[in-house]
Amino acid sequence: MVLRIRKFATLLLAVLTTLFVFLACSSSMSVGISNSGSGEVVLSVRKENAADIAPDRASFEAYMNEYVAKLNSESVDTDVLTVEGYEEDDTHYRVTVSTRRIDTIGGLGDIIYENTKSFCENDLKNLEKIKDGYDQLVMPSILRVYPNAEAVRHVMDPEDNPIEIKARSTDSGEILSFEDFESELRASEKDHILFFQLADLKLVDEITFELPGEVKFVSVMSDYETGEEIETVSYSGSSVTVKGTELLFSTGEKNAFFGYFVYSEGVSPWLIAGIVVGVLGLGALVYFGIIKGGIKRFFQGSVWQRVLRYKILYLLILPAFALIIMFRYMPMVWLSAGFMEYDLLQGLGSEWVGLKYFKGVFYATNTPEMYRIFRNTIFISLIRILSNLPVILFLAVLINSIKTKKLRTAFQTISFIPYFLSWVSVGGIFNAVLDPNTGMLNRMFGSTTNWYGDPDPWWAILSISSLWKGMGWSTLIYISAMCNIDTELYEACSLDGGGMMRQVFTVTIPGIMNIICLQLILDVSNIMRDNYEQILAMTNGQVTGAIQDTVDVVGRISYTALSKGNFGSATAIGLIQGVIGSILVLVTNKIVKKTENEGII
Amino acid sequence: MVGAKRNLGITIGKSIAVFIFSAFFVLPLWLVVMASFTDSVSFIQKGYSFWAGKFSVQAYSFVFKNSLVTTGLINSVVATVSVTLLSIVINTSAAYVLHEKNLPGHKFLNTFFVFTMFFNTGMIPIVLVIRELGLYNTYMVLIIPAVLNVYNILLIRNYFYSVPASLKEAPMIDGANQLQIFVQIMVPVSTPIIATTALMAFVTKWNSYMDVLYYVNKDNTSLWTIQYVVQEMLADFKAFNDEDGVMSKGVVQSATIIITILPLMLLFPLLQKYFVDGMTIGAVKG
Repeated sequence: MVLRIRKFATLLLAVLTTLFVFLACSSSMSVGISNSGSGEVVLSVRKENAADIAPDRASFEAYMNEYVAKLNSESVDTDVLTVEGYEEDDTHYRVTVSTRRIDTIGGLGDIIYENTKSFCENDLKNLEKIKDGYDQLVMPSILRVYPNAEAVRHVMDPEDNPIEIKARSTDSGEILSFEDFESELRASEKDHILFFQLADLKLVDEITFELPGEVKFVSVMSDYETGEEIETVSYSGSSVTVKGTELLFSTGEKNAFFGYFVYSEGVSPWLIAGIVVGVLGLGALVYFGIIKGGIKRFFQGSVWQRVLRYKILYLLILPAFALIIMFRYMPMVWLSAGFMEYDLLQGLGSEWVGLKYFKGVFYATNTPEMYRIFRNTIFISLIRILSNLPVILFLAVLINSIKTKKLRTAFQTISFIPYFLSWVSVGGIFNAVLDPNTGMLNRMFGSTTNWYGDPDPWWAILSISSLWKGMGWSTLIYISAMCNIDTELYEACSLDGGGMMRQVFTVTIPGIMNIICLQLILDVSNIMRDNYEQILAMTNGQVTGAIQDTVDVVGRISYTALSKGNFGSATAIGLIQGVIGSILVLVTNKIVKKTENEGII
Repeated sequence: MVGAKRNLGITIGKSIAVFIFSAFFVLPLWLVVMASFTDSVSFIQKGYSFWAGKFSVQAYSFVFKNSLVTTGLINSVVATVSVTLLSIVINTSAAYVLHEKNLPGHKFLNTFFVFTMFFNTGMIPIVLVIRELGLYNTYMVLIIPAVLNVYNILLIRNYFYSVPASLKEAPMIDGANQLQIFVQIMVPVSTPIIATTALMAFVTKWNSYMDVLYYVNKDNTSLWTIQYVVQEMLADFKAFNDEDGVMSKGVVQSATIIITILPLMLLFPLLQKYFVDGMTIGAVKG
């Protein structure tokens, strides 16, 4: 018992250490570059203004929920805006809306959260594009930040054609660069900027932006041409409040307001946690190691003597240790990508989105596509298991009954060959049978069936190809089990007048029943694991079109998600599949142990 | 008399069954072998058939002139040989260290390795790690991820456990160090299991297709392995045909498949012997 606890503790320690090391590494790298656009905005609506649409709070909430849902549906992602809650005082309704990954909120305007440096660089690129006549509608925010720059006049004035843009500050007449921005924005490279341009806010007469850091500088304007600044802006700590009934919501043409806030992100909580743990660890080391003399004792102790004696062995295991960390333990940490809006550049510093993708999979099970995928995955496994087992058993009995040694060896050898071929080769070899034009099946029967376009026969084809590849090998385990059956049982059966068939069903099959059950249970535990490699190979890579009805499996969606760059969703799907698989393995292992067989784990 | 008749019936039944099964196993392969030696024109007339039409080796000469196929073959050979050699060295060393019970940290190391057997993360996190490590779309990605095999390490470790301790004790008294004992005593007595695991690594790597699919940019043909080339050929033959388009798809793909499975067939006697051994050596216990 003690031993087991110690084992568990070591294990836990190992996992936690690895997790910690990687998280600490990744977080310290990502401090200052995680600009995922997450923040909060509080919109305030004067009750008397809202009275027409929403006479009471309940109807106001309903109206806002619907409005936010509409904005989301017009945006790039489904969770750009989330209503976090409602508050109410004497004069106002206050709606808290959280934002993430904002680029453009459809129907509302732009909110851009970005690192100051990349913001400026993008802007300069946009400027170049305009110069090349790429798209006159690209309106670089640099120009909006510099309302007095020459270029603004050109862009805003459609009659000034051809547009000659030199992003020049009118004050100094020089071309703008990042350094200019720095001074103009009063920002440094590590700061972040929230740039916004909002229109159509209708009822809202006060907005509070909650930024993920301390606000350093704000500038809000209500007019492109004059660059007139709104005076009713206040900021403290991490929030900025813009009030201004007249400026914001004057009817007519100037119903948009825009501006930018510069803020600096605080130190990452991970870094703080890392420092705290590090300091504590160092303190413990100093206390126990030096003050209490632990280090000295350790180096004099027998353990250290043994370490010295075996030191070469640590060197020997080093390559394997490095590889197991790289390809077994690091992927465990990267499973967290399933909970992130994973971005290759930001790595584990990407934005956390919680269970978004997991919810996505489960909600999507209602859709025909997801239903089809799970059905196919399970059915392909089931059909393979149930159809292959009798044939494998028959072959095992047949091989076992061949008494001539040479014939038996030759036959077994033939049955082994396919086992060593790759699925790709098997796919090509089956193409010789199934090819619509030159395949043997169609040539022999004079038919013109397009096997690769018809979804109906595919469960059978997958099952038969599994049989072809694996049958010879699978018989091995049954044949070795048959060797253990007492020969006296056969003799007794034979004396009672039992023929060969009788012997098979009264002696052989019952004799290997344990193994059959074991194999069946193992197979069932793997029911959720699709063999996407087999499907890709057998269909010769043509997994689209009508054939999808029967060959679309879980592995395919995670592969598609991956190739489209939806890493978060791909990881989540794989994780769900893996967890279901692990649960099935554990459960079946328990069952196997109950049946007096040794479990596999 | 009745018994004899029944026995005869069973023998005939058995013979028929053996024949049918043999045909089931061999026939598809036979069709491919025949097609690979058929002239393109006569193949289009006859399709895949039991006997080659007009005999020809033009498919093979065509395939060996195709740069995609030759690059794929070279990549596969280089990757497979590297992986096999590296896995012998790295996995056997690791197994030896894991088997040494007196080593401080023995329990921790064993748990650290065995734990990974029960926790399968699936393909995508590995892809992400490979991208993070900068291995994505490099030659190394064909080799490095395939080297480590925990199952094989434990297989070898268990074999080391079964080696009598007296074999190691004698040279230890003579003053041999750990490395000498490992290389001069343990490795020679464990050649069967090392051969088994090496062959497993060889077959797995030679046959692997998903690694190129996941770890390599599809357009980077210089990293395609032969399995990937075959799959691409099956999916879209046009990219492989010459400008005149004279070669028939079935002939060329058959020749490529035969080339792909030839190394395995050459090793087949070894594979059969050692794989069966490997299976009977049995279950790995943690």
